[in-house]
Amino acid sequence: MIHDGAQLTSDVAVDCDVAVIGTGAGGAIAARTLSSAGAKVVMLEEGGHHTSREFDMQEATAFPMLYQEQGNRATSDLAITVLQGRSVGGGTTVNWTTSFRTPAYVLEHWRTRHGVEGLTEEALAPHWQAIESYLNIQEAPESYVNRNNGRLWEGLGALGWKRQRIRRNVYGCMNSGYCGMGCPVDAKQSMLITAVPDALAKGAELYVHTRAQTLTEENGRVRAVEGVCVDPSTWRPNGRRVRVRPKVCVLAGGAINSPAVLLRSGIGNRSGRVGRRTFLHPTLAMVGLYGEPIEAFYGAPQSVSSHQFAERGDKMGFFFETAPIHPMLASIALNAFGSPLRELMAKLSHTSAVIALLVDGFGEGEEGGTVRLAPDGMPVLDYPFTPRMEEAARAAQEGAARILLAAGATDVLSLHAPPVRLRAPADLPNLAAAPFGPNRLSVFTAHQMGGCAMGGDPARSVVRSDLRHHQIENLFVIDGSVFPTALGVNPQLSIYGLASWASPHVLAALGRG
Amino acid sequence: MAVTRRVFLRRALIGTAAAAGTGGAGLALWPGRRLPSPGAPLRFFTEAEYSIFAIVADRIVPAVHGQPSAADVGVAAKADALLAKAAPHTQTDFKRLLGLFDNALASFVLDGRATPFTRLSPAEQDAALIAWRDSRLPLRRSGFEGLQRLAGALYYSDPRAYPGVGYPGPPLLMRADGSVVGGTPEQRAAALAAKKTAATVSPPKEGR
Repeated sequence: MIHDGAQLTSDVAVDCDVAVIGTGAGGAIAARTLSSAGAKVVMLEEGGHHTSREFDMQEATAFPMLYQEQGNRATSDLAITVLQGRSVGGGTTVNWTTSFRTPAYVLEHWRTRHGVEGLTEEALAPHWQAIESYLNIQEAPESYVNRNNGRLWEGLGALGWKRQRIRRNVYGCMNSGYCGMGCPVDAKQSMLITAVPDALAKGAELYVHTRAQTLTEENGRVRAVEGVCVDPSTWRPNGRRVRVRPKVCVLAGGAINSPAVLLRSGIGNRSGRVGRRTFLHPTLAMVGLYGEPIEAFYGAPQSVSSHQFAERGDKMGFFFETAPIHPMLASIALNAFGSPLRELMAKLSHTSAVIALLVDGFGEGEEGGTVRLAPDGMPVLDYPFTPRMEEAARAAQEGAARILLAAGATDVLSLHAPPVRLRAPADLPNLAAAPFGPNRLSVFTAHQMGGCAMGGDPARSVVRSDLRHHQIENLFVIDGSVFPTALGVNPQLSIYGLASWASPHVLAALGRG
Repeated sequence: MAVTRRVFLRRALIGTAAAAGTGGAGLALWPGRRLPSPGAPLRFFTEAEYSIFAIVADRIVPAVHGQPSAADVGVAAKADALLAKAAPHTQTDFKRLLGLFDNALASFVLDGRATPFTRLSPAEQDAALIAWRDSRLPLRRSGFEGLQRLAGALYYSDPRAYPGVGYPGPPLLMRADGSVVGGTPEQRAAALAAKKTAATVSPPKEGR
């Protein structure tokens, strides 16, 4: 049953087996698995329960409704725009459906460098297979490759670089291109229409517009989750409270928000590592202009990728994909104003984009970002630009420019303020000469990872390899915040697999193993 | 849509305080230009802040023939509604940014220009925006990006801006339950009447 915190007329106190904080990729899969095993589950979700009936494919509707901070989340200096979901289904309600298993080299790095035990391809394979079947994860057929992705495919082919078609969690996809605004036809197999309803059908309770404010601890255990109800018309607490007293608590608010819950609570941070090592796949982009229409606003947003440069030895790796080009996000990405902005926006339908996602967290001494609390208790993310990141960003921009030129773009533009324009490979030195630094160019993140890292050493990590907190014995963290590094691939399937793999450990902690 | 936060511009504020102590107080108090009050009550901005943001938005997305202006689509009123729901620390930072942006003394200290932004000519305003954008002070660049992205996002997410960028808008789709979404209101009405012009979704997967 779904309860709306915005509508509650009195405070609520509820006892249960498992409290699950967050309904995204981690929380929903955990809630479904635990409910199916007979556990009494209560889910808390800060966002609202919004369904396809409300998804009108307008950016002005979707971003305030379905994204953190109404679509306004960013790093503290505004240098990196943070796209992160906030509603039932979390990021899965608004992601672009791209589904990759965690690469073997990443799992091996976690084992050797972070002391993560038991997370092997062999151990995860049955969980991935089950999820892939459950969410109908299959390779996008060629007919779903739109011209935006087609240009990436052609450019990669002309350069002889690795390329592959992407797998997607869709069923009955109408190839419209609006995954990021909530699937209007329930084709995307998001948590909103799969695992959350499954958990509810097994008796789970869900409180929406209910923010997990703090966890209270007693004798090394979580005693209660203190939930604060939120009025969505002001996004301020409405005075109502939901207190959940669970036997076991699953924290699944995602990177940034899960660490913030622990920091607000003042518990579980003996190591000082809560909020540290936050990674983002910092994302650069180059855009190409063409003489013919591309219409990158229509069609499956992502169907092609290249991991040619995902592993670059001692240097930071990166991988290429595309981004759909709708007017609002385009205006944020293009770093122009006045007549130049008008002129670039007028070419929207003839524009394609190649994005390059930097694989952060693998370098010696590389610490990524840090989550801290603002005076109002909300999380703030600092993410410094480093020389290592600059080297990778420059290589990635050059690679993206080469792809677009090889794909037939007449003009290629960077997202610098103002943009650098290239018409041929001979112009690449202009790109190399452009400045790099915070707010010198647009950088995005759609993949937030880390902040509650798993690992073998309690002094260097927050949770154990089985995702149980090092000190608080009935607390598990099951979301992207436990990754010790970035993933090198889009994260949803890694989180689903991890949640499926970890759920038996939660049951064991309940005494039901 | 990334609005500003943490935009304290500490160095500029320190410079402003120092100059105020040596006779610059008159500049610091020179009020900016005010626009007529908007129709609806403001929830976040003061009327002065509303004017500053509206005048900035008009330079970010300048009026051109045949397309709606920032004022036409109500960019400043949209910003007011959005920021009214922002976190308190974000609200504080945004108000500080707007105050500093239009402060004559701050612009004198930073750029040697002793006039509030809102009282400059359009060409001078563009030069002032570029000075913020290209500043060596990271916090000033943050301030520019916050204003530029918010104004741009609120303008281009309005369907009235779509024709000017060659975006036809969302396609007409029919859901499995027969409801329709996207297209124009006329297209939706026609599709509901005909129940056949829109594509339909495959039936739900077996065994779900």
